[in-house]
Amino acid sequence: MQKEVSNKDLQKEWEEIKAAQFNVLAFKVLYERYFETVFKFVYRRTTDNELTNDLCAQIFIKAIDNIKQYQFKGVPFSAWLIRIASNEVAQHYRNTQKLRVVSVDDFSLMSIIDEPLSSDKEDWMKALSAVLQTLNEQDMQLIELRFFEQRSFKEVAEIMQLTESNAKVRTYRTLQRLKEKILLEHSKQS
Amino acid sequence: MKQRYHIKFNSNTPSSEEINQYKNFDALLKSYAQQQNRQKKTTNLKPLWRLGSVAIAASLAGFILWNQLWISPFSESQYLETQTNFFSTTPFIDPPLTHVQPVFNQYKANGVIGGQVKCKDNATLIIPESAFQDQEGNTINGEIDLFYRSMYDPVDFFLSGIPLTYDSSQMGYLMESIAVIELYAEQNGKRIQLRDGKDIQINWVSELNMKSDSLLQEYKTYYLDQEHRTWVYQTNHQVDVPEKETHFEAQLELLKQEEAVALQALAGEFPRLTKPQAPIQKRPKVPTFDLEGLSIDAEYRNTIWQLAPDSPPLPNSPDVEGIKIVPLIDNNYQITFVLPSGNATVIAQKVLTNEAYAIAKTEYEHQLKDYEKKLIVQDSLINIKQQSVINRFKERQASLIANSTQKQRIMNTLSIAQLGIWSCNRLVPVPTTSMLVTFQNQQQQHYENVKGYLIDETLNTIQPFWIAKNTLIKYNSNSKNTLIIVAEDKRVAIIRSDDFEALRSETGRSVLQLELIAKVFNTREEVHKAIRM
Repeated sequence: MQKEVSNKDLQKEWEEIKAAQFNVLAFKVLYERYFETVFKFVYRRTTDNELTNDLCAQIFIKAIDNIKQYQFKGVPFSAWLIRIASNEVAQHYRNTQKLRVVSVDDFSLMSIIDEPLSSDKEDWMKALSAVLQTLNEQDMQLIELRFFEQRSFKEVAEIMQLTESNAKVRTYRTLQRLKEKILLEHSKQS
Repeated sequence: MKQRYHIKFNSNTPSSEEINQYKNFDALLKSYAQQQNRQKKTTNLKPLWRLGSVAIAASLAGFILWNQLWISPFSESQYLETQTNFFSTTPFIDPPLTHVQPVFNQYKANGVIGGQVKCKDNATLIIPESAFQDQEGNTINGEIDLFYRSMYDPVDFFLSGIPLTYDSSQMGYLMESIAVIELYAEQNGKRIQLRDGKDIQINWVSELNMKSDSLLQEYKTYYLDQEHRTWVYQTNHQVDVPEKETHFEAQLELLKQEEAVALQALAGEFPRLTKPQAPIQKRPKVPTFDLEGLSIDAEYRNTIWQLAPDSPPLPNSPDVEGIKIVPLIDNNYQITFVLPSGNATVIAQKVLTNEAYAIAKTEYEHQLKDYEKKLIVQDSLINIKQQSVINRFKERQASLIANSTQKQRIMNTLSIAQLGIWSCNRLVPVPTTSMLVTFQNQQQQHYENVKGYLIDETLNTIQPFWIAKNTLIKYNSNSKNTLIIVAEDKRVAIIRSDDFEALRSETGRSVLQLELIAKVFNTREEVHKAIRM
C-alpha cells in the first residue's frame, strides 16, 4: 500500500526540489529518499538486479537532466520519477525486443478476482496469465499501478499523464473487462 | 494467443539492504557528468559542420572569418588538457596582484598557558596550553607571534591566489566557501608548528545565503596541502544557527497560506457533482417487504425493499407506532421501527423487479455517462483555474525570493590540527553551460596565454581558466558572473555581471570585450570598488 503524503511534506519536498533545480548536489536528498521506490518499481518489471540497477542509473540521470522542467502539481515527486522509470523500462524492452516482465502476487490476484484464493489458486493464476496477455500496454500499466502496486488514482493519473477522472474511468472499464474474461477463462479451465 | 508479457507469480523482491548496496550518488554524478560531456562534444561538432558547409559556399570574407576562428575544429578535451598543463607551470598559490593582498594581522600569545585571542574580524582563537613546538619537536615556552587572516568573499579569494577548486574522483568541483582562514605562528622570527593533539579552535560569526536549511549540512572543512597541490578533506564543518531570522520565512509562509486559501476558494466555486446510484435488482429467494400504510415520506412510497445481507432480521411485532428512514451509502437505508417494546433497526435496500430494473438500469447508464462527461469537463476547468492560481503565486514567490537577501547569521567553529590554510565550504560542480570565445579589450588588444577568473557572485565561487585564442568558459546561467583577466603587465580587465549577462545572451557572439581598467590598484578596497561587488 502506498503511503499517504501530507501537504506539509509535499511543500517541504518542493523546497528540496527547488534546491536541486538550483544545484545538482542538492538532488542527493531526493535520490536517497526515492532510490528504493524506483528500484522496486523497475525490479517488478525486470526481476533482474543488475538490469534494474543499470536502468535506475539512467532514470536518475534523466531526472537530474530534466529537473529544471519539473513543476509542482500537488503529487509526490516519486510519481514524476516513476513516469521517467516507466518510459525507461518501455524503451529498454523496445530496444531489446524481449517480453516485458509483469510481476503478480497472491494479493494482487485476490484484489482482481475479489475472492479468497483456495485450492483452485493454480487455475486462477492460469486464467489471469492468459487474460493479461490480451491487455495493451496502457491498460496493463493501469492495472499494475492501481491493483498490483496499490497506487492512488492521483498518482496513477500523474504517471500516465491522464486526468484523475479519466484514470478512474479507464481503470474501472479495464478492470470490468478483465474480471469478465478471467471468470470465463477460469470456468473453461475448471 | 500472442505472448505480450512474461507473467511472473510471487517473485521475490530484493530487501532494502540489498537495494541499498546499489545506491551510490557519487557514481551517479560521475556518470551524469560523463554523459553531459559526450552530449556536448556531439552538439559542439554539429554547428561546426553546418557552419563549415555554409562558409565554403559563402563569400570570401566569410571564408576568412572561418579560417581565423575555426582553422581547426575546437576540441574540449584538448583545451582542458592544455589548461591543466598551463596551470601546472604557475605557482599553486598564485596571487594575481602580489602587492594587493588580504592582510595578515599579528597577535601575541603565551605559548605555555595558551588562552583566547580576539581578532580584528571578531573571530576568537582558543589556544590550548603548551600547544607549539619547534622544528626539532621541542615544546615552545614564552611569547609567540600569531599571523592570522580570514577571507570571506570572492574578491579576497581572487586576490589571495588560493585555488578554490577541488578534484574528487576526477570530477571538478568549485568550493563555495564560507571562509578561507590562514594561520601561522613564529617565535623570534622562526616558524613553529602545532603539537599533536593540540588543536586550535577558531570561532566566528558569518552570514550565509540560506536557500535551504539542508545546505548547512553540506559544508565541510578542508586543509590545503601545498606540497601535493591539493585540498584534503578533514571533517564536517561545525555550524550553529543562533537565531532564526524568520521575516523571510514568515512572508513565504503567509504567501503559501494565501495560495492554499485561494485554491480552497476555487474548489468551492464548483458544485459537487452527485454520482448517480446504480439500481439494485431484486435478489431471488430473499423476501421483500414494503412500508405502505405507515407514515413515511413520499419518496419511499411504492418502494420494494429487501434486507441487506448483513442486516438484523425484521421485527415480528405488527404494532408499528412510527418509522424513521435514514439513507446510508451505496443504496443502503437504515430503517428504524418504533415498537411498543422498543426500537428495532434494519439495513435495507430499494430493489426493483425485472422490467422496472431494466428500465432503471438503462436510465442509470445514461446518467452515468452524463456524469462522467461532466466530471471530466469540471476536472479540466478546475485544473486550468488551479494552474493559473499556482502560477500567479509562483511568480509572487519568485519575486519574494529574488528580493530577499535571505542572509542567515551562523556561528562557525573550526578546529585546526595544523597551521596553514583552511577552507570551510561545500562543493558545487563546475557549471555545464559553456561558450567558446575570444577576449579583447576596448583598445582591440587580444588576450592569450594568461589566467582568467570567473567569479560567481551568487554562489560565492571563483573559477580560474586559461585564456587561449578560443577559450571555453563554463558558467552558471542562473548566477551573477563577473569575469576578470590579469595581463602579464598586471593590468586588470573586467566584464561586470550585467555586461556578462548581456553578452552571453547574444547568440553567435564569439568575441567578448573587456573593460581595461586604467588605474593601478594599491588596496583591496580599490579592487572591490572597481569590480563593484
